[in-house]
Amino acid sequence: MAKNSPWITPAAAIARDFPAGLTELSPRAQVNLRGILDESSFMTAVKTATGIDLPITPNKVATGKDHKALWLSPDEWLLIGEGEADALVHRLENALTGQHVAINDVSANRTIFELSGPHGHHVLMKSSEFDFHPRVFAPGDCVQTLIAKSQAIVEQVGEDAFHIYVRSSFSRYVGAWLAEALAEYGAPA
Amino acid sequence: MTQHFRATSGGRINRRKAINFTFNGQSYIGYEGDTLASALLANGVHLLGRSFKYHRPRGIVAAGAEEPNSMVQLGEGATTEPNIRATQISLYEGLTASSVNVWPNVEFDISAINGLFAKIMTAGFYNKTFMWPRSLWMKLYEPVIRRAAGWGRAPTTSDPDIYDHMHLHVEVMVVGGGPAGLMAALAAGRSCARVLLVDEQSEFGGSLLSTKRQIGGKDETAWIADMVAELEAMPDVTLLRRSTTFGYYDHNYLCVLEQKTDHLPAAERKGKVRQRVWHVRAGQVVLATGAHERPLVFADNDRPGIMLAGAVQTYVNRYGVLPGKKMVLFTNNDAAYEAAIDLQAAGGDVVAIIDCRHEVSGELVDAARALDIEILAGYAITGTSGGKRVESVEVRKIQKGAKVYTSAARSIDCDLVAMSGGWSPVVHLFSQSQGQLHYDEAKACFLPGTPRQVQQVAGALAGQFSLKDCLAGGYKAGADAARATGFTPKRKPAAPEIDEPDAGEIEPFWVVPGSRPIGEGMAKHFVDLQNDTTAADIELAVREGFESVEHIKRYTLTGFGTDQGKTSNINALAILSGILEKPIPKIGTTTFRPPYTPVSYGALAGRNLGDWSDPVRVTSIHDWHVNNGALFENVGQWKRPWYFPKAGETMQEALNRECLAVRNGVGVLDASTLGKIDIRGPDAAEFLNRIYTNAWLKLGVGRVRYGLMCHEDGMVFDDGTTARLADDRFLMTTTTGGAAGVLDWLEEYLQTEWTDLKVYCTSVTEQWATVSIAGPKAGAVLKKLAPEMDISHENFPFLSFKEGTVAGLKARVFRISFTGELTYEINVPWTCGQALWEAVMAAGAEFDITPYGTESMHILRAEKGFIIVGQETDGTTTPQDLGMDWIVSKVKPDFIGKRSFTRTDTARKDRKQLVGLLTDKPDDVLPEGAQLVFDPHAPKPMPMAGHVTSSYYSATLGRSIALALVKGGHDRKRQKIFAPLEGKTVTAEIVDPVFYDKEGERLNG
Amino acid sequence: MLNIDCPWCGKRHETEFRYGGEAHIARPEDPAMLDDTDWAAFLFMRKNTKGYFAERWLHSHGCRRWFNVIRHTVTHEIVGAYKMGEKPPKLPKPAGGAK
Repeated sequence: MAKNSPWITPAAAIARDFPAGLTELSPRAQVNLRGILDESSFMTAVKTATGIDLPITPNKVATGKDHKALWLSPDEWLLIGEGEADALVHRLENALTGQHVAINDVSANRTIFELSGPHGHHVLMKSSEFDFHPRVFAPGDCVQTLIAKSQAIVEQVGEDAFHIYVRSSFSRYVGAWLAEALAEYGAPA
Repeated sequence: MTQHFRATSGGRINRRKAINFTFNGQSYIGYEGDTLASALLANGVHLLGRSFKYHRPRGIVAAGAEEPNSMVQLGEGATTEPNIRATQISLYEGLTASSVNVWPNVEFDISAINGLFAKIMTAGFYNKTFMWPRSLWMKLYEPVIRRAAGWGRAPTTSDPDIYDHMHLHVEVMVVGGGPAGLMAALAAGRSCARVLLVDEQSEFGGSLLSTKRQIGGKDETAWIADMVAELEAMPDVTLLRRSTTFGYYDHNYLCVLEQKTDHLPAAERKGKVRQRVWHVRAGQVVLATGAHERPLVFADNDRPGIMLAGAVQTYVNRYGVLPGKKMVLFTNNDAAYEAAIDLQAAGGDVVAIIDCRHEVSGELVDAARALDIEILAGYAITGTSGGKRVESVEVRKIQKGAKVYTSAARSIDCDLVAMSGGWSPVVHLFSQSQGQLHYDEAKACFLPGTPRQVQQVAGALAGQFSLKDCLAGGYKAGADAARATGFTPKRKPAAPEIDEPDAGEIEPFWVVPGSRPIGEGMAKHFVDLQNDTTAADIELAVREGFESVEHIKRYTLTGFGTDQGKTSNINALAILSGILEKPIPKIGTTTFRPPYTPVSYGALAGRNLGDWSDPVRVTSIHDWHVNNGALFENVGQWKRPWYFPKAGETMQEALNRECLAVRNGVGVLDASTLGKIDIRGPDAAEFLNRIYTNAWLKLGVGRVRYGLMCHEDGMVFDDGTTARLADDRFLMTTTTGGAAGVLDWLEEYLQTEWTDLKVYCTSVTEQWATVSIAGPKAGAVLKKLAPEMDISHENFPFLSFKEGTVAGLKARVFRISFTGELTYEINVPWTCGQALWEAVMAAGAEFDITPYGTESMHILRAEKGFIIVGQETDGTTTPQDLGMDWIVSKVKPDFIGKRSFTRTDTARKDRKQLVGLLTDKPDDVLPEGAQLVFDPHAPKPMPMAGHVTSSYYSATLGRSIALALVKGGHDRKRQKIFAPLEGKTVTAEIVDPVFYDKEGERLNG
Repeated sequence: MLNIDCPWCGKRHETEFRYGGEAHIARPEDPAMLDDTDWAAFLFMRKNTKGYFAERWLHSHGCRRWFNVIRHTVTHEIVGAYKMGEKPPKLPKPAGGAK
């Protein structure tokens, strides 16, 4: 099997100059999974393949040993893991044979920014109409919303740390926007 | 110049910090904490500008946002701002400002001669006078009027300042930081709700900044400080000063303009955000916006030195300024007496109180009497005199109900007239939120009635005019708001002991007659100072047939302008009420719309400027295009290479080279922008069968088919190729601009109409970068890149795809063609796009592989007569109109659009149909969009026959080609058609839209 | 700006959604059986309600679910949002000012 390398992350050209608090993460396996929640065989098979109980509460993240799953819609999840997606896709395909599912490697479809530090919240307030206040949004939560004018998934991964999943073609727009939003707080440019 | 009118002590200014500033070229000194208005008054400057129409001298009237007169041009150069209210400009070191609407200067203004012609410059003057001849309006009237009437100058260079936006969600938003607002925020904050408190002033306190009160044993300053300290200590309470809530929109969405650096000297602003617009979503809103004082409408009530009584009190108490040393107070209520008492206490002299009520009594009246101030009850001011500053007033005894007062006149010398016609609650935001108003006869004002949104009102806005009521009302509103959002307020604290005078009664007095009837003689009774609208103008408007308050507003201009009639609206409609003899509630108010005060475009735009005004989407090969000299075209939000000119090439030369390379050698195109949707499930083929116009059930795995999508009305809305990846799985491509819309469309049918179909759609647009190589040499290039792939025509025929390794990358290769040439579209993961592109360029070097852009792509496909959705179609074009009947299934019982193809409209013979056009002169390239006619000699307006949808010079054919939609075009082949253009008419022949390789022989290279 | 209650994601700002027009207009089972008038009625005729109105929205930047909303076209009051196939919520008495 051919290797997907050299892998150039979509925002690499601008990410070098990001201020402290903003980075573009190295690539990781991203697999979009759709299936019928009501069929227990589906949940069981996914658990077998990934070790994860898929989150059924909207906008929640379930984390397992090697993977995590982000709720995207009542029949859709984004699975994230380290390394290449092929293995995960195969495991899922095998476990779910015969079921009505859709499994897509989307590792290249989005890039992931990590926003961290004391001003992460402020940057999100500048960039999104969603309420990221700690009372409403906490580690283990994810949301699909707009960052500036681009669709994005935001996942809170720590008290002051967020992962922002952005469609590759929008990544420079969003990356530059976030970097500029941070600049006000005196982070070295 | 020293500050002759600064009181020896008092005020909230910092007398140790002197601030230098310049007004109209003259240098002055003020103090930290001053506004431009208070500093000018301290220096004895009342004359700030000239009025809009009559160019009468005008001065400061108010002390806040309601100021109608004192608009100045602030700053210079790129950051200059016109028409800023001097009452709302915090003084800073080095401030420069000048008057607007004056020429050559404020002291001597040429247009003041308009005053002599005032008789003819009544309501509707411009409409009536300059209507005719119409041709002169643009050339002569408008420029002259604009120069004479224009207010400030807009900057001519782009705004260098930084603006941004912030989104905030709170349970309780409190608008207004006066006593009621502070209490509301406290009540809500103590319940642990998230609270936002917004105030337009530099410090919280509202009316308490202008009055002296004891609250629970503390003076007002200490009380405010304690309140603010407690609020600031609460982690989930946000306090915004210098922030104006300018808009109240649906579902408790409010916009606030925070002025972050406008009060700082220029050197301290650098690199900082100047203004920030807060977008707030609030669970509950507490409006505590206070009240504005109303002027009284009397003869020549507009001279500099005639001010609102509350403003006088503010200048005295907050800024330590005596706006005058010999004051006359003119009032219809007790509350205004406090201004007189405070001015006297600060060292001024109150020469008389003119009270239009016949009987006056009460605590404040007694206090004024105790100071030996003369009180003339049952009197009114019937005239004023003075050039650039009021010098005296004429007072007469009021004859009740009389249109003319014949009583003896008495003249009183003064340098300041304070006036008070009562208070109008600031209902603007309440009204913006669609709340209904009701008129309160006793308080003589409009008050909030039934709200439309989840909100509370408190303080003077709610008619709670005493401090005691404000505090109690504010606390209750805040507690109610918190409770309504699910929080439990703490027990209400005991009401503090408050030392305040009884505000007494008010008796409305809307317009004061003089010795001659209103409108006669030279005296003017101004209602709207900013627009120079007088009581006589309103009378005239009624005489001319206007009765609705909205019409009166537009005809007389009352309530327009930067102040939006904050001091004039209520007086105007009360006067209208008097003329029409209809009660005030029956007249109603005009509509209050955002913004409450003007907001600069910079602030509204925030950071959505330039490259960020809309997202720019780029492919993973974008940098290569940039580095290799591509010019770009916007396609939706995408930047696509348009063409790749070489040094010295014209655009046409570059296009010719690119197109010929594809036809004769090999070209390469970045096609990554096409939308890609993975469609999977046991019913996927059936689903496509219903979505597309052609048949899909029998498409073999590994094969690709072109499809056309229509809406239910039968009109084409997207097209593209779809490959069958597996029995139950397809990969659909959509147009670049249509990707999101198509996915929404597919989901709509799956989720709302055909819920029984087992199909999942997943967008994979940016999973795959697409490099398309086209031309007779394309196979040779691919062979080098994928030596193990069998690309023989037998094993890799047209309209099929293969998975494999290309340039060492995991790839899918599609054999489709948009150029008519042998074409391979190689898909690799997005992140490998640039690596693939570079490999293709290297492998193709020996064949002189030529990158081409969207323009050459358009030419090549037009040569083949292939449509582009959105160019050959416009939402009114059916497949049949496009001559694409071949792709519309006659067999399928139903698919989206089918039923509409037999509607009488879509079956019309004279519909616009797609044809090719060949101009008689091969070098004539028709402009795209050109209208076409069958008879160029027909009288105008000529009947239109259609329009050109695509037009190019084709290097392949050595001549121009065009596609067009022409009425009944399919039956008009070989006929002539004409494009009447500016200066010439181009003749063309209607032909088949396929110009090149009609048999499709080139597809195999 | 509207605050729309997505049945899955909760209240979100209008900018995350796409409007889908009047709700409860089912595509005819067999369009071929309809005459031109009935087909045109399905294609083009929509209510222009002043008051409570059932309409379709798509949470396009969120969970990509289509759902229905009852919104008052004058006050923008949203009475409730409900999933496809669910029954609309009971309408309150008309709000002040709009009938």
